[in-house]
Amino acid sequence: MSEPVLSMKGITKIYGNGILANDKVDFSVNAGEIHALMGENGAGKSTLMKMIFGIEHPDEGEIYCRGQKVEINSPTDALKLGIGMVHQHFMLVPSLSVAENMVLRSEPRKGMFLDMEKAVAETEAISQKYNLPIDARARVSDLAVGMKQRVEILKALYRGANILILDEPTAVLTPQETSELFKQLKLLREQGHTVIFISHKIREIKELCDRITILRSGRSMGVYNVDEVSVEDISRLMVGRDVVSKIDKAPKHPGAPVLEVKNLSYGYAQEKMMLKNVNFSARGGEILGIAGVEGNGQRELIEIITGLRPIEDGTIKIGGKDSSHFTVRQIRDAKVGHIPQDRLTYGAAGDSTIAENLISDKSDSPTVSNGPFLSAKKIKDYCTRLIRDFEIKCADENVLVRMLSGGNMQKVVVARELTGDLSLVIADQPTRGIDVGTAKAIHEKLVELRDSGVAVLLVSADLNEIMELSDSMIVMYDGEIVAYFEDASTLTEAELGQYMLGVQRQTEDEIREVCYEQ
Amino acid sequence: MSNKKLLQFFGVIKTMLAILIAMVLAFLFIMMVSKEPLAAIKSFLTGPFSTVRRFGNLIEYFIPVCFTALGVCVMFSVGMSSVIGEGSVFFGGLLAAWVAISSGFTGMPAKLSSFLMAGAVCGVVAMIPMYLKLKFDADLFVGSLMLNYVLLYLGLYILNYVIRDPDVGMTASYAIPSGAVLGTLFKGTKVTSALILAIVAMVLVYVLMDKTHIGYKMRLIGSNMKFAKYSGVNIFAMCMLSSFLGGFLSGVGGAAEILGRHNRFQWMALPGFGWDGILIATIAGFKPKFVPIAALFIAYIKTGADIMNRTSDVASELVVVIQAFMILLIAAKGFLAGTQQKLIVKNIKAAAAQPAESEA
Amino acid sequence: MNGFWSVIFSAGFVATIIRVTTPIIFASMACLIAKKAGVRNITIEGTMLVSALAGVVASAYLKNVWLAVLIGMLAGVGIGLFLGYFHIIMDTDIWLTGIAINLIANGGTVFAMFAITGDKGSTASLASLTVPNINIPIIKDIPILGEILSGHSFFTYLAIVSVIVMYVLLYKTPLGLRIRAVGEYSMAAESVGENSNRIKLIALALSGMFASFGGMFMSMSYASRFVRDMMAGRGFIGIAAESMGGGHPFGAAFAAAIFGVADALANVLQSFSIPSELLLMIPYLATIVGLVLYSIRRQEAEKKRIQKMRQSNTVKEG
Repeated sequence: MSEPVLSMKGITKIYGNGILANDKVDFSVNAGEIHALMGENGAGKSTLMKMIFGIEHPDEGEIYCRGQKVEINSPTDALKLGIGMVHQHFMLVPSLSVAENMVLRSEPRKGMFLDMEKAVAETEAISQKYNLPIDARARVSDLAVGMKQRVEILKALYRGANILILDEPTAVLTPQETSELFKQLKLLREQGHTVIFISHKIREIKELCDRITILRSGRSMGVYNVDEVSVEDISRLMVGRDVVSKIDKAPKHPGAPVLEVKNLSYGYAQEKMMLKNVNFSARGGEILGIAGVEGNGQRELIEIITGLRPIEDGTIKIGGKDSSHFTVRQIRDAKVGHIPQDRLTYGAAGDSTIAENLISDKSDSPTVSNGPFLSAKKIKDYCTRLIRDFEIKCADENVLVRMLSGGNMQKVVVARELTGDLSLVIADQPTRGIDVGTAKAIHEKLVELRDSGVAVLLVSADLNEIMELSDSMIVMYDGEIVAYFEDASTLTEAELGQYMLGVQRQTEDEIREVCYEQ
Repeated sequence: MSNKKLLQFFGVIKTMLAILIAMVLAFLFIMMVSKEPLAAIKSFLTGPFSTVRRFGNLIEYFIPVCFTALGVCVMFSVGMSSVIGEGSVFFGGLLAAWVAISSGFTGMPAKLSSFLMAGAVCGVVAMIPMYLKLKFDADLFVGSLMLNYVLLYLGLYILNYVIRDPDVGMTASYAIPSGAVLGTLFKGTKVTSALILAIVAMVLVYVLMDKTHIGYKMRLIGSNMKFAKYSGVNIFAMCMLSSFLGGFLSGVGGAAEILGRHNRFQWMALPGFGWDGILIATIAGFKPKFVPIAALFIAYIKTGADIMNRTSDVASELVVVIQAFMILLIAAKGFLAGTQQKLIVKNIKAAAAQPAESEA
Repeated sequence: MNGFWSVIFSAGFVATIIRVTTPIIFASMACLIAKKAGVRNITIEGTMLVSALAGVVASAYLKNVWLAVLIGMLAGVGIGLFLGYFHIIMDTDIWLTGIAINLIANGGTVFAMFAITGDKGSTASLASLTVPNINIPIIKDIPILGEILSGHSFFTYLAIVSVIVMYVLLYKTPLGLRIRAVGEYSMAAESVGENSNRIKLIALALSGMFASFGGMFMSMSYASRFVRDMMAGRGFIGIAAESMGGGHPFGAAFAAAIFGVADALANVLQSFSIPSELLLMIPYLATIVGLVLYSIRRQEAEKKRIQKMRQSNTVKEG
């Protein structure tokens, strides 16, 4: 290994809302290595990388590139230094073609006009050079996720980047796409490129990376050679204690079906069917997991059940009553709690206070109101209780939600949804992007509800979570249920993967068992 | 100091500074165009307090803009900008005059029917652009603005063909029967009982928006519509209600103006109270409880400008420009943002130096 | 009613449509370029007012109409940049900024006019110039066609050219690519080093320029003086035309022409003893109806598009 190609010294960054994202962080990468940057969500990884790429600016500290002290004030500065970034959310304009996205800002010209033919030719040339084939004329919005990521990588290379930052690149990929990506990255390393690989998946880092820097709550926990550090060490450094990923559960005592979904199809107004004749039931006292690679109909399914999307075909019963055409309000009144997957889209209003977020679904109930009037006292009592019960870390209930960390924000959502009289809980990616401690607390709460007879429907792209937590499991692939496992604990990861990727599927009769009809 | 309090405190400072800058700008403009700038500035600043009648003018102006500003607070609470207030205030005034002239009622029934008709019709009309927005995704701003023009010409048609008094030399309605005219509260002014109505409206809107779950739901829609939908709030009903109330308040404001200060209806153009309402609501941070202060302030500079217009060579339209600058500076998040960031960083460092009291 | 139809089918009526469409085309182009860069510019009305006055005043003092047009144009660009400064640099809500700037234009033009002429109504006392009408050789001599197509204001021909220039600019030049990229997904453009604020400011400057032409057409061609509030909502109607044009310059120009027809009809009908107040309502009502019709049409087109894609997908799958 050679000397550092890029290093940061004593970097401190405080955001406008007062969050201390980085605290005197030192970070350094060597030329020609794949360097992992690891840490939980909110540990400050993305902030640190944004400062390298000139999107954010450090309040304190210095950045050196190839031995020179540099000021990176914009992505342009970063690109000039040969630094390119592949963002977690792709930086591609959907309605433009691949070639247009490639050449944006360095367009080939014919006189004062844009030379489209040359743009296509240049795109094809670079794609051949790095052996990353792509259709230069295709519209980006028509590409699959893996392909979009490839365009992103090519875009950075086209602009002469030899230091590539990849921000959680595998979060959106299928296992096949992931291994394809790893092959490409290793190839780039052979050609002398440097890669900074952000992830919180220990296994991937072990497989791919040379060295690792670990961040915890804004501070660097040191740099290690990947070969010389164990998985246990890494996780201890990340979270500050040994992770207990096992969840203690008593045996399940399934009751009657609480949620019954029959012949549900959706997508007649879409380009393709998102759900095809989906049938299942969720029983009280049981956690039913829905596994599957994201984008296989889970989102539509959950939104239809919870009333956020209109039903097109089929029926849904909650507690034995036909709820197919219920409003969100009626569904909530049927004792349904819903933890949505997008915290700040559906789950909370960032610019409102914790109190306003905690009472959003019950502002007109006697819990917080007297007739039409909100009761300040009732609200205060109710919120104080929830903040205590769910250990939301805040000064009081009048703090704005956007001032909270991701984990605490999720606690606000969970506290609202899992309090009160419930018969069905729908948890959609309930622990995505939050710290291990909070995740564990949420898992325990879900198990507690299940033990008290509530039906829990768990959707998760996190294999660990879904395998640990589910009593039974269904697997979705391409809008269909392709497998049902009455006892999820007997399942292996490899087996599950086969179903998730559509390689295998059970017989109709086997799948049909999830309806619990005798 | 908690971050939230710090931000609130900063907001107040920012508003004051914005007003100050706008006023300095006003003086610069006066210096530029006036032959006697000092006299003009003096009549602008002290004019409203120089006589009882002039101070009365201030309060008279305060009344209609209070209603429109409250209307804007309610309409904008759902996070969508309908500018129907301007047309509503005009049409409300017209309807009040029409009802007063042709209903034959006297006394309380005359006043009540005029106000209710103005409010109810304007409320329903204000729901039209919101309905088109919710059902057809038709641009709310453009829709409500176009409807203002429709209301203007419809009103002028009614004025010319239905209630025009042919015996007066100008375009004006029949005289409003004395039974419908609002009584004055103070001698030497035209401050009418509508002031009491305005104060009642302020209290009611404040209670509605801040103390009931209906206001809470509207604000929830404004802060995150998807979240509100997910929480089970009936978006359609709440948005329509907010528009209705906004139109209702503006219409009542127009009625209060016409029945209080005019003998006949003779507006030939939109009166501008609706835009003033947006300005006042902006200064008040769209919070009903701050509307009285903001409205008093705007009434003050508006009255001052009118007096300046009469006593000097500076046009009163200057004040429209100044008001607009106030909106810009107050609404500009970037205005003083650097100072704000420094303050927060300092605050955090100070807090970090002490044992942490909380982790927010 | 015979008189009515003979007026409608006269060459003069078509020429009137072209004339009254001119400012709306400019306004819709002004709206379009700003929207492509991701900014809802509702200050077009105010920009037109300011430029209309600036052009008139400049022509009265400079005695050179083209210099005056240049000054009016710079005033428009200035307002575009002013909007950009507050909305983009100072992060001010676009609706409030727009409302404020329109108020400034409304009050400011009267304030300035009063300061210059001592009159709050119009600039009748100023000896201002008008932009010449242009007779197109050959075409002007063709009967009917000549009357329709020739002899219009310089600005009318400029409006037609503007639509084509807008198309080329947006779809055939690097700047257009950047504007569209910034407007659709500014972070993507920024990630390759584009300064999206800069692109938005350029777009707003151009937006102000197009609006200024519309304004000057009103005060230096349609009329020969500035009158307070003389745009009477034409800037806003342009915004409506743009939103009906499906985001394309040709579509926006076509929608503008529809409003032109409504406006011209209102003009013509005035001589048929229909109350003028009701006629004056037509363009505004047409805008509201147009917004709704467009939106319904768009929803249906979307349905059809999806149907088509589904069919082709099923074919592929089958």
